[in-house]
Amino acid sequence: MTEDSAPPRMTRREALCRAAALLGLSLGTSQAATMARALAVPVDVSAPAFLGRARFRCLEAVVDVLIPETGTPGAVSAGVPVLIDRLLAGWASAERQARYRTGLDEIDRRARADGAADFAGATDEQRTSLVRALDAEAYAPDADGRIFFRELKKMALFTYFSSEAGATIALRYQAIPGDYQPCLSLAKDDRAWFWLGFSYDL
Amino acid sequence: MTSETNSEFDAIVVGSGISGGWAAKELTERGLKVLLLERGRHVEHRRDYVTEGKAPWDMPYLGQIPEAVATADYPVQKACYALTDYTRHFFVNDREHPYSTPAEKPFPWIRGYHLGGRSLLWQRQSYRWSDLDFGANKADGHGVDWPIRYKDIAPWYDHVERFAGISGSREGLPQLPDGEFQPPFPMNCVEQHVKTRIEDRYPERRLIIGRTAHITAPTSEQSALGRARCMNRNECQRGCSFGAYFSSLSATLPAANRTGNLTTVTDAIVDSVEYDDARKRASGVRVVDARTRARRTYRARIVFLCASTLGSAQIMLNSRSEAFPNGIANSSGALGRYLMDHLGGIAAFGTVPGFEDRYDAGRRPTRCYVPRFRNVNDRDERFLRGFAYQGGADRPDWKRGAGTAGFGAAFKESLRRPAPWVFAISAFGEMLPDARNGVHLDEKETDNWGIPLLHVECEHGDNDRAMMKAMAADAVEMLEAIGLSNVRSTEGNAPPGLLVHEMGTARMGHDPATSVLNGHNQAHDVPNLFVTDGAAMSSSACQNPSLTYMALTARAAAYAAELLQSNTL
Repeated sequence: MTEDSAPPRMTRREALCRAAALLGLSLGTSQAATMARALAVPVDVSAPAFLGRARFRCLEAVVDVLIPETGTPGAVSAGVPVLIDRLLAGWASAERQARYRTGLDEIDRRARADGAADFAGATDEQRTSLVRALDAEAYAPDADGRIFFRELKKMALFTYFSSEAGATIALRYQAIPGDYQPCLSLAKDDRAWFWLGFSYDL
Repeated sequence: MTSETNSEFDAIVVGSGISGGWAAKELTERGLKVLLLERGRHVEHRRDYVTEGKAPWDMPYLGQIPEAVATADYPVQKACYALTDYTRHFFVNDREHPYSTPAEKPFPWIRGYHLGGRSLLWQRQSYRWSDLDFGANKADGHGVDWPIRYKDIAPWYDHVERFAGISGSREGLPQLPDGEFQPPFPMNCVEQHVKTRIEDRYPERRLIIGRTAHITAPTSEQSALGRARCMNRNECQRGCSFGAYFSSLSATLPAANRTGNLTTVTDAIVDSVEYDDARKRASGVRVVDARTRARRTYRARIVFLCASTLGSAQIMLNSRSEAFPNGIANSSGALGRYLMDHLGGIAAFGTVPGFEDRYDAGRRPTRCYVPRFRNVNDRDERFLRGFAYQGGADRPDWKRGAGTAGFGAAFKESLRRPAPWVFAISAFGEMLPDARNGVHLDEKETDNWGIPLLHVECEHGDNDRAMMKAMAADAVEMLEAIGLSNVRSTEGNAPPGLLVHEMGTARMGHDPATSVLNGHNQAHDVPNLFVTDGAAMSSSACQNPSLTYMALTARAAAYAAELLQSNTL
């Protein structure tokens, strides 16, 4: 995907935001939902920018287990594998790139040890069971905080919730809130707001 | 290579940040022809806020700066929370703007070189100082006595607050005087709850809404300048087309421009102040063109240095003449010394039980404030001076997921909901002035423009370290005492510089033998030279300092204009 695909959507959204701003309005949920149509990140999985085909398939399969499709888009339909690949190609340091190569290969190796061809080729049960093991290892009380699976999970959550689908469908996003409303009632299934805040350490 | 520019200006203002913008406004509004020099590029309000309103998916890397770029170009600036891919065009490239420190005494010098300077990047917290602050040096003997007291600056606080637009609540606290406020931002229900708990338990403590330079009810003057009320985006450092927060670009420079008396020149790096030994006056400034490196001199009847604390110190130290071999207006030897920052990097937070069916909406651009409560009425034996806390309550979002075991549908669903409320505070403490903390010019190394590099040497002293311990301990004690659960603290050991409240190096004082500036920010040695940025500060207090720079600048400008008009200069 290229950045050329973005401007038409941006322009429309910016126009909406500007109009809302001029009226001093905040964008409510229904407008946000309208604005959030056709959000899928254009995916061209035939040509990942950084990862080779095999590592890309592995990444796709892992993030699908981490953040599955439910009533809301999962990591794959939100474009997380493409976003991570793009970050690895243009954002990541050489050290981080190397960690991803080694780390994804290690996940494939673990899948093969379980009898699968690789992680992407494993059964649903095998994938879930391996991710459960990786997660338990990564968050064990004595685990090294720099373990690759933690880094990958943080990256998957960051790219998912910062994607257009993640921020506007899984969560709620207001470009221009208008007012600060200090005490609203929150129903059980109400979503959290998306805001990135300041610098975010991946 | 040096060209001379004839004097067509009454005043030169060096720097276009918070102080320089105010100097330009006040001097032009008094009829003076002003030349404003900015070392960085031109930034056009609105047009050049190129990342404003962009969502992460509109950014090439979701708002993250490529790691190799951060390492190569922003090794110092990246320590600042506000540096992101959305804002990096408003931060200096460290490779192009070197300075040095001893290896064991880091001093992050966070800078923005462009029209408007750090007024685009500031955190906008705006608090008056009181006589507790202006009298502090005299009371305990650290630093020289401030030559002014609250009554001298109070009308100027009124003046700058009315124009800038400060939102806040009136509290009647002697240590944090009330101002000319626009309506405050509301506290959320959990902050209200915490407020009650704190104030019930500690009669001398308050939790109040932050006082911030955001318009909540524009005056007609503000509307006329194209400024509108705050939209609660809290993405201010990208620039704000609503002009809702105070910056030079939204407020003071448009006001100065409409007088017809302002000439602004960007990409003009001031090398030094020119001194006329016969007249015993500053005669102008020597400038290096940032693009061509051509040198030229501008002349005027008065010079205002507003180039930031360290920037103004660097210019003055580099202004060497027969009369002032160690820097202009430095007969005292105090120039470059007594550098301070605030003490910080210390935070505490805990979970607030209950309120699970409550949530807020909108991104309020300020948090709350616990005004100084130590050494106000009683004497705290642990340390001199005081500190304040800034903080608030919110419900953590998906970012908590990276630190938590779990995956799959249930995990995803849990991260789509806000977590229980957390109340968090971080501390801002007063650093004592100390002659050993300061800057000097590197005798060998120069920058791309032939200007000697600055060497910064600054570290915390015994009182500073004692206060930092108390800041952390008091925070944890208070949050536990008011019933928060799982209270934890973080001690970042922020080196001086990182709070970006650097002050001192050309301090005000009564005595020309021990201070650089008098009570009107006027150099004791050179009566037509004024320094009105953070360099002038004789002590640091614990309040964010920008509002005081505004008030001191406006006051000094009025005084300078008066002297010019009565031909006393």
